[in-house]
Amino acid sequence: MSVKMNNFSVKFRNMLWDLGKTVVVFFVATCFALYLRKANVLNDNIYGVFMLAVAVTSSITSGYVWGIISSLSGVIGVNFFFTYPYFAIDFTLAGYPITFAILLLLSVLISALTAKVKRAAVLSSLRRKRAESLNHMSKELLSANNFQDILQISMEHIDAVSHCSVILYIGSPLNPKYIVDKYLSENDEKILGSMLEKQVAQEAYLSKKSTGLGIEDISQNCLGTYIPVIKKDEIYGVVGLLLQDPDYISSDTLQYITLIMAQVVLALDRQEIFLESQRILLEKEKENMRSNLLRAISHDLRTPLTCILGSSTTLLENAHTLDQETKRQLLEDIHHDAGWLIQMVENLLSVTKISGHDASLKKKEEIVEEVAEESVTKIKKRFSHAEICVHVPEELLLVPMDAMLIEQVLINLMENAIRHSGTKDPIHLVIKNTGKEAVFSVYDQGIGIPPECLPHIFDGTLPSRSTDSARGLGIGLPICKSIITAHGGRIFAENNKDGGANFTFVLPLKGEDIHVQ
Amino acid sequence: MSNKIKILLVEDEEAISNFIATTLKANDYAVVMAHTGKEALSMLSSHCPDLTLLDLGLPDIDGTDILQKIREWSNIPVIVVSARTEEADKVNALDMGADDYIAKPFGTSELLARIRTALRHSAKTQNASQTGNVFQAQDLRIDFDKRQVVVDGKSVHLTQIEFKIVSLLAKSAGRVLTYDSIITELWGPYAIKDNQILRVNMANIRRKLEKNPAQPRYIFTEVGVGYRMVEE
Repeated sequence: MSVKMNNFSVKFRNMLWDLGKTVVVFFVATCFALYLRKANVLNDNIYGVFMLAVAVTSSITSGYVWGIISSLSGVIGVNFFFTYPYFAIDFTLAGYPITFAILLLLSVLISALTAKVKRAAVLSSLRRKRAESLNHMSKELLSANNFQDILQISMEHIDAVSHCSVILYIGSPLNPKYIVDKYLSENDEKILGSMLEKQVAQEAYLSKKSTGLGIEDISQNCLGTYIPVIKKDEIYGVVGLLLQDPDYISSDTLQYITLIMAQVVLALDRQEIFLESQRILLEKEKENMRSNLLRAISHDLRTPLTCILGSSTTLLENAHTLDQETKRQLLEDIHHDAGWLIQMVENLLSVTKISGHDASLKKKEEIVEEVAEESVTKIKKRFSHAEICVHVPEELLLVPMDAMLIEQVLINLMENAIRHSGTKDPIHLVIKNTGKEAVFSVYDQGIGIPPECLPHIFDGTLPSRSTDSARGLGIGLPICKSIITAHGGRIFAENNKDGGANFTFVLPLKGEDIHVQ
Repeated sequence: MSNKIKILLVEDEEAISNFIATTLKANDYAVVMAHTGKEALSMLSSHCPDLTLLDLGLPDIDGTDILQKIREWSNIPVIVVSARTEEADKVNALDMGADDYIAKPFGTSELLARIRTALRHSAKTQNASQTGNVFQAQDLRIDFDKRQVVVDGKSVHLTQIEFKIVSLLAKSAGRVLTYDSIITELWGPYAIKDNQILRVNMANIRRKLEKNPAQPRYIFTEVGVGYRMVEE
């Protein structure tokens, strides 16, 4: 209501202003004409002066009214001041209607012209503004990098144009993929959220035509106006506007909103393509990792299998000729390599867990000492001579993780330390709490890692396998890395200053869930 | 001959049943072998073994179904042997009445230890009155009557709940008790099956009983499954 009052007072003020201008122009023209007559120059051009006055009035006021009033007063003025009898009105004067008609025509013509020019100016400034805002929006859209942002930006712009509550559905309004909305009041929210409005929106979605209030075909008594978002006959969604004043909808606004939405659709498409390419990249990387892994596996499987097969064949075929000690040695080799194969299989199992199709880690809060304890128990079963010192924080430390996988990492790291450190000194497993992260370190006091191997130690592509007299570090470390990465943590290897290799990994204490595809 | 302990071995893989049978015979057990589920069920009633080693992956009947059928009429100790490594499978088998669970691959010493434990427990339940009032393992001594726990000669103060957990584990020492079975025993069958409270209690117990909680001597964790008290 206040808006209308406001509108009214603005109109009234404009009218007064125009009236003032008209009066001033007429006054000036009359004075000028009186002066001309007194000076006795250009007596014949008095009409010209008034014509000029009419022209000026028409062009500086809005609408036809003031021009017409001005020409009327011009005719009367000339009649009153400048034709015989002076200072009296006499309409019987010959030629008077013609003068009046000429002045009238002149004022109408000029008013029409000015009005046209003004409208054109207003329109062009509006268009310029819109073009600017569209441009601005495109820029913003370029920097947006998720669907929600894109929709939010577009909504802000629609709102800036239409000054009303806006709702934007992507997908079918009854079952949308995304909704963004901006309400001016709670009441608006209720209205736009109602079933009736959604039905009308759905109709726009299905028919790909605008529906609702202000559109010609109003079959329902809904309050919103719905514009479909279309690109190349493909429907993306619906924009709903709850306009204050249905008269306000000009086809221009609707067109502009359509234009905005075209931009948005482009941005959405771009975003989708971007995500798709990301996914493909990830897929490729995974494929790479998998093939690397397969190569490493087949290489690493062959060695122990050869040993098992060879030793057992020797035992079977030469059972009588072999002495007791040799038999024992062969059996021990078989036993050792079988153990190694089992470890390999455990590792492979973890890989299937983190790279399976529905692979999201089953993270649960685990007590670190329990995980450490179980992994130490498992490694002790295989390496009963190994000495392992475990240090855990005094207080209870809960870390979200998939316990089986983290155990596997710990087992791999400890096994590497046992096998490759080259000493029988105790191996240390230290767990610390930094407040934000849990830090797990496994270190030994052995020969350490050759510096040239350090950068590649986790990607399974060691530069020279010859340095590794045993059968390679195998697939253990790359798997550790993928497990830790999947947990949102970090793993790194270094050599301690006082000798020995140190493998450390860090797990976030309260991390977001990281989904691994 | 007839007073040897008889073990029914249900396993479809020839090589594995061979090696288990050999090990068992070498350790003075009598062994009957079944290769399918049906065979196993008929042998159970005809041979009345003292213990069953049951593989879960059988060609005809799923191992868990067999376990269920056995438990309908018999209290014979059953040790489940399986290649399934998921914790859920272990918990499932244990909650369905298996006495213990051993995952492939396993060492023979481990298998024999589990068999001994299971046999001892079945003997205990048969003459329940003989259950001692004191539990002793290494330097841990639990007196159930006095509600007293002594480690390395020093008395340890445990809260009510902590003592209940410890004595529960001690009474089935050597066997895994699942989280759910402990919770049911302590807080009743309608308690919320949230093992977090139990695990926090256990962490406290460990700090009281063990010198280094991460290298325990008495209570071992099977992450995701439950706890096991050391037997001797």
